[in-house]
Amino acid sequence: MKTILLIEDDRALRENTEELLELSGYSVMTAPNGKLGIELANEKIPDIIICDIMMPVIDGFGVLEKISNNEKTKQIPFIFLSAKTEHKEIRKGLDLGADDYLTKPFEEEELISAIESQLAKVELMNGMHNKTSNGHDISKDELQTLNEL
Amino acid sequence: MHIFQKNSNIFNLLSEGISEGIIVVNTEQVIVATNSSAMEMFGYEKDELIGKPLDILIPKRYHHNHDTHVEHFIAKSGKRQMGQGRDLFGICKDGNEFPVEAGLNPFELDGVTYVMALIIDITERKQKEIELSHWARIFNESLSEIYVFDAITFKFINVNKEAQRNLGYTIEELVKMTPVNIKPELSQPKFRELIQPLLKGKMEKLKFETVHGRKNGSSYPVEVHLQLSAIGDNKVFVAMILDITERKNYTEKLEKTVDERTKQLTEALAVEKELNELKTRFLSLVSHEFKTPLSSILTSITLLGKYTQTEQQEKRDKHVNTIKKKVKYLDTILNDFLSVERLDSGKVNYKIETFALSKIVNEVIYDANMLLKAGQKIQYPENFDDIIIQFDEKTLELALSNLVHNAIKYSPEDSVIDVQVAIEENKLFLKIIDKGIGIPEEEQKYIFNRYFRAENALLTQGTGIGLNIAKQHLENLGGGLEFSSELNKGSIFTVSIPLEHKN
Repeated sequence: MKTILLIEDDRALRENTEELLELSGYSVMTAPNGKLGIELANEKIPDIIICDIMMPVIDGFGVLEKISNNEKTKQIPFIFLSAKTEHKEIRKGLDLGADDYLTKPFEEEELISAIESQLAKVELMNGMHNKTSNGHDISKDELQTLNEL
Repeated sequence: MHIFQKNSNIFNLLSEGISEGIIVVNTEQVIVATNSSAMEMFGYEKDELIGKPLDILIPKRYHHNHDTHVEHFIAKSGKRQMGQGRDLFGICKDGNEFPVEAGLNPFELDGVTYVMALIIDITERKQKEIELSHWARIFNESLSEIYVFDAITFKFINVNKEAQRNLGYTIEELVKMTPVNIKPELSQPKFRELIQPLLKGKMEKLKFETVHGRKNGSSYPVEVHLQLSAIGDNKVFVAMILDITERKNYTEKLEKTVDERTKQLTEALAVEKELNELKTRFLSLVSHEFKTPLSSILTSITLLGKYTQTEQQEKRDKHVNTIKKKVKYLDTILNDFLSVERLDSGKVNYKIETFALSKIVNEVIYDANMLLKAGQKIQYPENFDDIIIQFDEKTLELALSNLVHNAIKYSPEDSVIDVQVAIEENKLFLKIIDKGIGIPEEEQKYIFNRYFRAENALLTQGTGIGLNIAKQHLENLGGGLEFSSELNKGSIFTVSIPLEHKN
């Protein structure tokens, strides 16, 4: 079972999102602010991180920076989930190295498909890594799939 | 007459060599001899005047005077200049008058007395005199100050009346002075340097502004127009000076007005800019404030749709509750926004009612309980059911819920929020005490400004409206909102409400 770390300060939304993800078959751990989120990520190494931006103590941008600068956590896919819907905010999030950016309010399907595609990407990368280390070339199909992601 | 003819050679020799007109008369005032200068002057042919009375050469209006004058003169028998103290005129053959100067020399020849008049046509000189006095008058009576000073020694040569009046120095005093003496802002070397271009002919005229010092110690601003000129062979400077006190005053007033207006405009512009920035920030906050609760509602609805089995009623209740709570929260923010609009447009309708304080306090705390963080607790007095107040219920609810929500938002988990009630001097005080992040001291003065968010609150949701409208509404009704706060220790907000409300 894949583990998701959800960092969100709004209690109702945190609980609801947790519930939705669990119903979709994920194991979820949650943090109400950036600081606790970073600690959990470092400790448990989740498969994916979903993080709000406007939060007390340390905001989403701060979380991403810490996660990316840590050898243990930098490879974890990182998705922003934010009410900041202006183009420049989304750009900023992606420029900082987030893998995806979801805007509030979001539909269940959007959330699940964003998570799935990130997890698939990781798997492909890992497979690729194994294959290439075995001396195989990446197939055209695999390259196509990678690009689509 | 024959005497002159007899001696004509000598007379001619003497008289024709000079440019003055010569007319000799006898004691009967009959002309006995003339020279050609005199003929030319009066417009007669040679010898045409001989034997004619002298009066023929004098305008009629002087005839009587002239006779007595001449008689008197002859009686005195002295050599003298004629016409001293008055103007003398001659009259030509064609009737034209012209100014003359006459010198009379009585002499005797062969026992007979004659008078020789030496006559000079002074038309040109008179004209020059008139012109000169005209210029002198202009110079002296000009309301501009005019100074003439030596180009080498700088000593004043002449200074007109206006200059003397304004400076308070007499001409006798001024001729011992130089321009530097009356220009406190200029030193001798500096003045010398200033006028060099004029002396060297590089400039025709120099214009500058400086200050003149009066004899009495006061001073006035002037505009100086300086030109090089000459009196005979001596180079002199002519300075025209304008007292520009009034112009200066006007200019200064104008500059001051312009400065003031510019400052006002800059300030207005800054305010406008700040308001715009606040609005932009506010709109982004509003969208954030709406989108998070909307996300909760949307996810709760999604989840509600999944719990279809009978035994999942508890889960359904939870999400229905979340939806209610979030809708209520959205309604509150919307009311805050509308409140701002109503406050700004003055369309607030208060309804003063008599009610129990506990009713509102309980409602607010009941609703706030849903927002509490883990381990947070609101502590409030149990026994205040007997406090009845006359106030606008909505205003009190708005103020209290804002303050309690803030206390929850800005204090950590497991902390206690204290609500206290006190009555002092016809006033009811409600204190909301938290152990939260507090307000930085340097930002405390802005805390009631609309849209203001303290530095340490920026990462927490909020619009910066609540405190602003709560205070305004309370004050509109004779109440108040005060606070004290310490960074990282907590804040105390105090609502005051008058107990004896008018009406």
